[in-house]
Amino acid sequence: MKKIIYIILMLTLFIQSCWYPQNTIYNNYFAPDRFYLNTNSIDFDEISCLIVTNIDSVTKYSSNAFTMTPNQIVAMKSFKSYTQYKADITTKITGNQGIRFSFRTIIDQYNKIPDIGFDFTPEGCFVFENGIQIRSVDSIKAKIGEKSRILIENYGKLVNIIVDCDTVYYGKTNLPSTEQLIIKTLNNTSAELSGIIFNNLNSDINIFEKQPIITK
Amino acid sequence: MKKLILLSILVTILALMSCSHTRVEEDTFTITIRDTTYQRFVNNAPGNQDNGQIMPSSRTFNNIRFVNQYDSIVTRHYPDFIRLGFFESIGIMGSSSKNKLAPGLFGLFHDPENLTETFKGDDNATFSGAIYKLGIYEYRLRWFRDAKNWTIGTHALEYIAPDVWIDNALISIFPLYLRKRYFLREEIPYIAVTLGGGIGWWPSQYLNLAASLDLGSIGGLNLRTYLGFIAGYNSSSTPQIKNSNNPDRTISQAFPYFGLGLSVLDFHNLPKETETEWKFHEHSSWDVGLLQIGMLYTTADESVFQTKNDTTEKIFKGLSLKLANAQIAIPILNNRFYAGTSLLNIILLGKKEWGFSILPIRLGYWLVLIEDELSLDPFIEYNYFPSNFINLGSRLNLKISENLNLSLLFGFATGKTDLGYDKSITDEIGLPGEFSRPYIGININIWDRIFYPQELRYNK
Repeated sequence: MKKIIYIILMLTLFIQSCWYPQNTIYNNYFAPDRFYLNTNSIDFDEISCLIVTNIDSVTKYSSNAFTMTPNQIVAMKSFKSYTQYKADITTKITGNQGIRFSFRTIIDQYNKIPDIGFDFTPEGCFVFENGIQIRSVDSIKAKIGEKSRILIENYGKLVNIIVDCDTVYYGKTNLPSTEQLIIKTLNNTSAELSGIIFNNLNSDINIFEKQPIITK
Repeated sequence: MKKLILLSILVTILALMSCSHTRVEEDTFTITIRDTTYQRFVNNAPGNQDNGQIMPSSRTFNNIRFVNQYDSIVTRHYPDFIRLGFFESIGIMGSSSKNKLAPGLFGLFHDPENLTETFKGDDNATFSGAIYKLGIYEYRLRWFRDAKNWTIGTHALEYIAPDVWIDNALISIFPLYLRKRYFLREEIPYIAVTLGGGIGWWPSQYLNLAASLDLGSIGGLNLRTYLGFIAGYNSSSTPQIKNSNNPDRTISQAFPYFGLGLSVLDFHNLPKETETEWKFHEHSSWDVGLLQIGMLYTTADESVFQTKNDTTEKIFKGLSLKLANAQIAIPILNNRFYAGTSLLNIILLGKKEWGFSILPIRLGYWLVLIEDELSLDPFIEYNYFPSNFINLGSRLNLKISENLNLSLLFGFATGKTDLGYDKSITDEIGLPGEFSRPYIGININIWDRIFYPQELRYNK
């Protein structure tokens, strides 16, 4: 009888150990639409990614890099679930349509609720707020087959989008910030995303700022 | 044996509670509010001021800037199972040619005369054995590149009885099953062909391969036809062999079977429905629940609660119990008529006036008196086996929560308790007889959910 209890205990521990999201067994057989970046990294925050479209469309090829085929969507968020972040993504596209980054939105009901959209295309950079174009920069373009470093900063009301060293957009928005950064490859464009890092800005904000009294 | 059954039910309930049946997803929206307050104070100094002299102004200017942030968190709840069920019973044919268990249709209609320790089986019975599954859970298995409709699942307890001999019964806790469904109809009630295989590992070791044609679920009710094959082994250490007359032996067996099954409180989701929030799910029933139990006041001479030593007059003379209930809306007229049943229905109107029934047929009308709170449910219930009686009644239901309701129950039951019960049963709960009596009582309905008109799929 004791043996049976030990066997049951061992089985329970084995199953329990398998049953967490990053585990390969769980991931392969119960959640193949999820993958994780920067796992076991000391320096960088772990990022949880959800493949919204076809699960075969995305291939993770290193600890913080993956490829996407055309017309696919991946939603990323930090495992620590912060809403204010600086995302650093090195992007390489092949195809003439480009790639779209959507933030200050959620993947549930994607495209039906407001967002900030940033299209990074060979024809230029375009920023949309709630579907309305608020910035068009044709001097900063995606070069097909070449890597570009994209920084997206979400901090309070501030939105800052930088491509390489050029600022595409620096402005304010009234949209609430959310955890997710959604990446969509547009028609005929596949993408390679590498060096993906999320920096937490939630802890950085000074929530009560008092100016010194000025006497005239 | 009673302890084992009670323990099994307890384990099943705990297992079902521990199974993740709801997936919770959260989205956090951080809202930033920036605001600046300007305050100007002019404090006039008391006394006179000399003219012609430049004096500092007494005005004070205070500028306070606020950056206020708060999180608005939206929580969404999704079902996290493909199948979650309380009980399934299957009457099987072909498992033995003699000493048949004779469990009746669906393995539920055992002849009361056979519920004795001396019963050696009925060679002429149609159904030779039975399979019972308690606490059923299936989870989406996304292997083979997310191939459709695969599941992995288990049951808290599985009991396979090929014939009347308990030594031959194959029993396992938490057997592991893999299933693949091919849906012929993807609307409620679903129709699917299911291919599956499972292994039981303790105390018996067995393999069960089966194909089934499934209809359901609607209101948690499902009908299934099975074609399968079981091969198993009972070692001398299994309780079935240990407690038999010849404990120093092992039993191996293999048999094909054809079965007809019915399951109650057994709910199904298509994979796409696991991506639909609970609040948007379609419901077909007015009321689905695990247990309705209550005390009844009747005009019977003797109360069921009276014992030989205690002959004091009791206020409550009877008891009512319904296990695994479903009142499924009939989509005609205003959708308020329903057809219902229970796995088990017991009504005790007095010490010698009682009826016991399996799968009674209930027809009723669901009247909502106060939205989300109070409803009236007049019904007529025909109980045909093993007792034969008609119950005409009504329930006034007060919804307390999603899982708990109170009912005021009143009605009239007439019929007779069928003869043929074993003496051990009648000694405990009184001699059977005819009865015809009104009653009024209070029911508590546990794990019982009442649905309201806007939740019914026919009203959407």
